[in-house]
This record gives sequence, structure tokens and C-alpha cells, in this order.
Amino acid sequence: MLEIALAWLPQLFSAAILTLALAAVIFAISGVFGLGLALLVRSAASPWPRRAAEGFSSIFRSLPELVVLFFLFFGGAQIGLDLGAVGSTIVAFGLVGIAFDYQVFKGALSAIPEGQFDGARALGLSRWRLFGLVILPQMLPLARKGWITYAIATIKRLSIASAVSVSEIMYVTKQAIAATNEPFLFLSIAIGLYILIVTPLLAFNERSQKARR
Amino acid sequence: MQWLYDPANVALLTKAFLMTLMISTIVIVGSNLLALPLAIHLQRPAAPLRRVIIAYSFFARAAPVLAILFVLYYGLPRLGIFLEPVPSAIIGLIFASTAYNLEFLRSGFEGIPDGQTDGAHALGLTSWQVYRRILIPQAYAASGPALFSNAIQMVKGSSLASLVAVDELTAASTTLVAETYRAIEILTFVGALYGLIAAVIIGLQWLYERSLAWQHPRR
Repeated sequence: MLEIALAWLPQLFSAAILTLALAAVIFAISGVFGLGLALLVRSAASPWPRRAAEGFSSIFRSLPELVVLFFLFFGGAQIGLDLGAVGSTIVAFGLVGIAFDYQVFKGALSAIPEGQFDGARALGLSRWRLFGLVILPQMLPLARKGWITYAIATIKRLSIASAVSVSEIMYVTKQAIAATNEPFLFLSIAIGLYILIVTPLLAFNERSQKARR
Repeated sequence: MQWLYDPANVALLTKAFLMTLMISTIVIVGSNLLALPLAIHLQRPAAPLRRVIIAYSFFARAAPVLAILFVLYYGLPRLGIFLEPVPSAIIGLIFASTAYNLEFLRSGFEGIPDGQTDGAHALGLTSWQVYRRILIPQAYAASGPALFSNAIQMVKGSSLASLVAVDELTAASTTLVAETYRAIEILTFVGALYGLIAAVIIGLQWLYERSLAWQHPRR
């Protein structure tokens, strides 16, 4: 049994690296655009950016990631826009991620009193310095917990990319089960890999929760 | 939208939609029914099996739902247990979702000051009455939003059942896409059906929160 596991270990290891790399790209996209959208909505004078952002966010938070993924993977092919399996995965999880991160950052932003904005403006700070020096440092601690919670969910949910043959952890696990007929062995290894990836994040979140109490 | 005029396709989608509704309902109800007694049980510091329940909760939240579904789908037959795909998927989804509901309720209970329990006991309420009248209503008021958004997560999670041979909505959409090549229309339509279920849950949450506001007008 150990020999079978060892034979598949290199592939499982590179699958875990691919999962982490995909997660990193998706976190960057959803963090940057989610934050940008929340700041844009807050600083806009007209209510339309907020309505558009809320509409986008409600739609992508209520759709299963698998449906969004299939939409991009099969729908893209239908109109000749071939994103490929990895590209579809990044765009699908990126869109859903922006929808969630927008809510996280919007919540953190709303906890900052209006006086902070007025004060910074009265000091003559430019818009960039206002956000970079005054608002962002106060927002990030508030947004951290929600952001990490969603990040954990994303790493685990990335397992559905196996449905479009992205060779991440679950895809390689499925292949290994088909080849060796050892479901418990390989599912234990796969779940072990996820626990290894997710535990530091979970522990970090639970510790910061206790510290706050 | 020609594919939608074919009665066979309409029948396929209707059946699949009802399957998604059924799985989601059973998982939402089942995981909430299991989470409450577990959360109450964990309120006692020396509760038996405390470590086991906490380990379960950690495991179920750290492992991907798809991996849990695969354990049941590929693993059980190896043990000589043959379950139909639908009950097997339902068990897996309940296993995964109960842990989240348990944690939401736990933090709901832990947010209530100890003085309330002491005070209620001093007034002569039995432990059962303290839970029934004092603690449970407040725990639900605090964890309500999280429980409702987790319900939407469970509806979305039911789509994973398509990957373990359950003919629900997402599986039906891939069948239709393979037959008709109308991916964009079909997946938009199916997406709208999921949106509809989510909208119903958000509506129920609104009603729930309004009834709380009515019971506690000062809040």
C-alpha cells in the first residue's frame, strides 16, 4: 500500500502546488477588484455604481461555482472564446471571489466613521493618500476574518475544477483511485493535503477571534 | 431558446429542478436539526464526546465537500455498503453542513453573558426552561444571518452531487449542453433557477428578521 501511495506522491504534490497557485491568482484578482469596487462605490456620488455592484455581487454569490465554471468553459467555447480549463477556473472563481470580497470590504469600510474621511480631507490629503494612509490601515484588520474565511472556502471549492479536468488535488485523486482501486488511501491523502493547507488559516482566524474577546 | 420547446428537455429540467429542491431541503433541515443538540451539548465544559464532536467539526470544515462525497461514493462500495447516489450525496452534504451550523450556533450561545443563565436559575427556572426560554432564542437571533447564508451555500453545494452521479439541476444542464451545444442559454437558465431558490431563502430571512424586530421592538 505504501508503495502505491509513494508512486503517486509526485503527481499529488504537483497537484497541491497547482491548487495553491490557482488559489493565489484568484485571491489576488478577487482581493484587488473586490476592494476597488468597494472603494469606488463608497466614493461615488451617484447611486448607480452601488446598484450595479450589489446586483453583480448578489448574482455571483447565489450561483453555484460549478455552474459559473461550466458557463465559461462550455459557453466560451460556443462563442469561440476558448479560455481553456485553467483559464475558465480562474475567471469563474475570480468573478465569484470579487462578489464575496466586495461584501467583506464594503462591511469593513462601513465601520469607518465618516469623520475619518472628513478629517483626512481637511488635512489636504489627496484621494490616494486618504485611502492608503488613513482608511486602508483601519479597514484591513476588520476585513481580515471575513477574507480568510472566504479564502479557506475557495481553496476547498477549487476541487470542483476537477470537473473540467484541471489536474488539481481531486482530479489526480480520482485518477489514482481509478488506476489502483484504493479509494480510502488516496482520499485520505487528498483530505490530509487540504487539512495541511487550510489548518494554518483556520487556526489564525480562531486565534484572532479569541484575542478580540 | 429552441431547446426549451422540446417537451423531453422541459421534463428533464423539471425533474432535475425538483431533485435539487429536494436535496437542498433535506440537507438544510437535517443539518439544522443535528446542529442544535450538538451545540447545546458542547455548552457543558465536561460534555462526553466533546473532543470527538470538536474533531468532527474541524474535519468537516477543513475537508472539501467534494472529497467527502467521494469518500461515500468510491469508499462505501469497497466496504460492501451499496447506497444509491441520492441518499449517499445527502448524507455527505449533511455531514459537511452540520459542522458550519454547529459553529454558528456555538458562537451564538457563547455570546450570551453567563449572568443570564445564573439569573434564570436563581429565579427557579429548570435547565430545560433556561434553554427553551432564554438561551435558544438569543442564540438563534445572533446566528440567524449566518445560518441563512449557510442555507444558500447548501443549495449551491447540492450542485456537487452532479459529480457523484446524481441527476440534479447541474447534471441536467451538462446533459443538455452536450446534446444541443447551447451552453450559454442553458446555463443562464439553470443559473436563474438557482438564483430563484436563493431569492426565496433571502425572502424567508427577511420575514424571520422582521418577526424578530416585532418581538423586540427596541432593538
